[in-house]
Amino acid sequence: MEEQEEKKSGENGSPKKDEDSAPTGNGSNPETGSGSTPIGSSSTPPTSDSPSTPEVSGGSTPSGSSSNPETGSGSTSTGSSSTPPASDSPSKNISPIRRNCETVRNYISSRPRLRLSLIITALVAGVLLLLSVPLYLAPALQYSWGTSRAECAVDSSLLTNRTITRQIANTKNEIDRLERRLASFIPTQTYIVINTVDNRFSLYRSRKLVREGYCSSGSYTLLKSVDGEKEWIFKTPRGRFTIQGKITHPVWRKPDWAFVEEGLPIPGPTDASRYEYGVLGDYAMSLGDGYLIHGTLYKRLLGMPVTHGCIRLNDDDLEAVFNALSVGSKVYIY
Amino acid sequence: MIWEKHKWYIITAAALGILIIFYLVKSVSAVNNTVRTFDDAYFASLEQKEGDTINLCAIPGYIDMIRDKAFLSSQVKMADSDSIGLLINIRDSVIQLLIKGLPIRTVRIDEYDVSPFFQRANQEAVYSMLSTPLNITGMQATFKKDPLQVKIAPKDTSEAKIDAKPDTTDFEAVFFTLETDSNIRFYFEQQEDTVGADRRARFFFDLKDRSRDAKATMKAVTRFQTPPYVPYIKIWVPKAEAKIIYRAIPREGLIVLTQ
Repeated sequence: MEEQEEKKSGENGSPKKDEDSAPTGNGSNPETGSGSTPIGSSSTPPTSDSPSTPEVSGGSTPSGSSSNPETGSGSTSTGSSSTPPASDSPSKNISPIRRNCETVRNYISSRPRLRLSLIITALVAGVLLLLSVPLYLAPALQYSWGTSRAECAVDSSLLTNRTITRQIANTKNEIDRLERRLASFIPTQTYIVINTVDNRFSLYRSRKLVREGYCSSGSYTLLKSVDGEKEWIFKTPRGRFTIQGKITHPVWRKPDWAFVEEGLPIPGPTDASRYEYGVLGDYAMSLGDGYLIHGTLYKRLLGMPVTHGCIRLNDDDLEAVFNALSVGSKVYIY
Repeated sequence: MIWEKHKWYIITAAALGILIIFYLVKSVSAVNNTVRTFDDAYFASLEQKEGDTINLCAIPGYIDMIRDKAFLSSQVKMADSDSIGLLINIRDSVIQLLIKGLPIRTVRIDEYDVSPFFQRANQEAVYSMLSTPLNITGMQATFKKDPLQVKIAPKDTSEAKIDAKPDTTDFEAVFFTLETDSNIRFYFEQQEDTVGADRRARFFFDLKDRSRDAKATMKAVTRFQTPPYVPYIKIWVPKAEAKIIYRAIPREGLIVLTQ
């Protein structure tokens, strides 16, 4: 209702002066159309067009002195209405907040593009707010709502129960047995651990670290032949392996991929071009399936994943590892 | 007058409000429902009801013994397998990579967050579940598990060249999740602050995960069913360590958990 009345007054342009309600008693200036009228400040009702009427813009009305019963505006409180109605113009009695809102609304209405932008922004904000409920609010509530049962009241009298004491003793025995079993998995011999992510190795003797350094492992390259018929993956296998053989002054028998990779024709299986001397260093240890721990000519590439699956070490490390490990020693690769 | 003018706005807002409240109530009840189902399944396996047994938690020190036993039992079972395993010890804030029972790498947990499920469920039932390694059933990450590069063989020697590419993963955001057959999900996050592209990668990775859960919840809510709830453990570790763990763990690897 108020809005409609306000609209009416807005449609009529400037509010008409009503002769009957002339004595406003609040000192408002009808020309300003201001609704923020200080009510009850003057006991003598001045005329509405009185030039001495103080013009007030903004600010709130001192309440409790008078109100305009005709407008029923909430901006002024009723109760001691000794003064006649301020004016018949409802727009005069609207609160400053409402007036400001009205101004903003008019401003926005007069600019369609701004209005559209605001509508889109509001819609996006609403959608985001809605989405935050299942994505963030619900999980947060799940986390915080409920009672913990991890802690409970201890009853020491239960320890006197023979069945329970027996059960406790059995559990202790079981724990001891499991601990012994678990300890048996840890090798007492010398073993080596290879980290293929950082390309580092660690040599352990009697469960103590005795040497560590850089190595090179598989390059994670998938090599495809030109015709696309054959392919090879150059990666180092992971898991636990054992040293299956130890070789001094190893000779590399080049597999097919070594020729394919260099763009050379693949020779026969016993062709002399398949054998290369000195490229694997002074020592090599076999892990099975053609994988070796060996030396390298490309020492600057140590610490990088560049091999075809074997593990390369520098000369000093290779010698130390070769001397420390024996056939059957464990090699852990991860 | 206001009602007449804004009737549809008010009706829509009220309907939306009711839907949101219903969704939230159902979501919250999902946790309790999962806990109840889990506890019931455990006691059903014992052919007992929860109230029929002595609460082992009340026996001084006994629940800790059960926890230790479950932890050791699970480790032994994992050591018996050939797989590379992951040991997550929340209590001591330590993660270990194990091969056949041998710890090959130890990582300190910087920070962790455990799902309320583990506090609300019967502790005896929880340790019973953890006495066997959890099998990994799925993994997602912001980086490649196997950074495989495809190389086409050169046609002749003139095309051939030696190429050594350093690992560039240090420049990638490191976040990953591991799903297990026991319906427990592990989140691993880099402890280093995320900036720029890392932050975006983390945000979208997290959003994808949340969306998946929200979708499942919404599906259940629209059918007036209790939504599913996946208990989780979030772990923050150094970026380089998280990368090593993810690359080392087999796709169907094992996890030993104690908390």
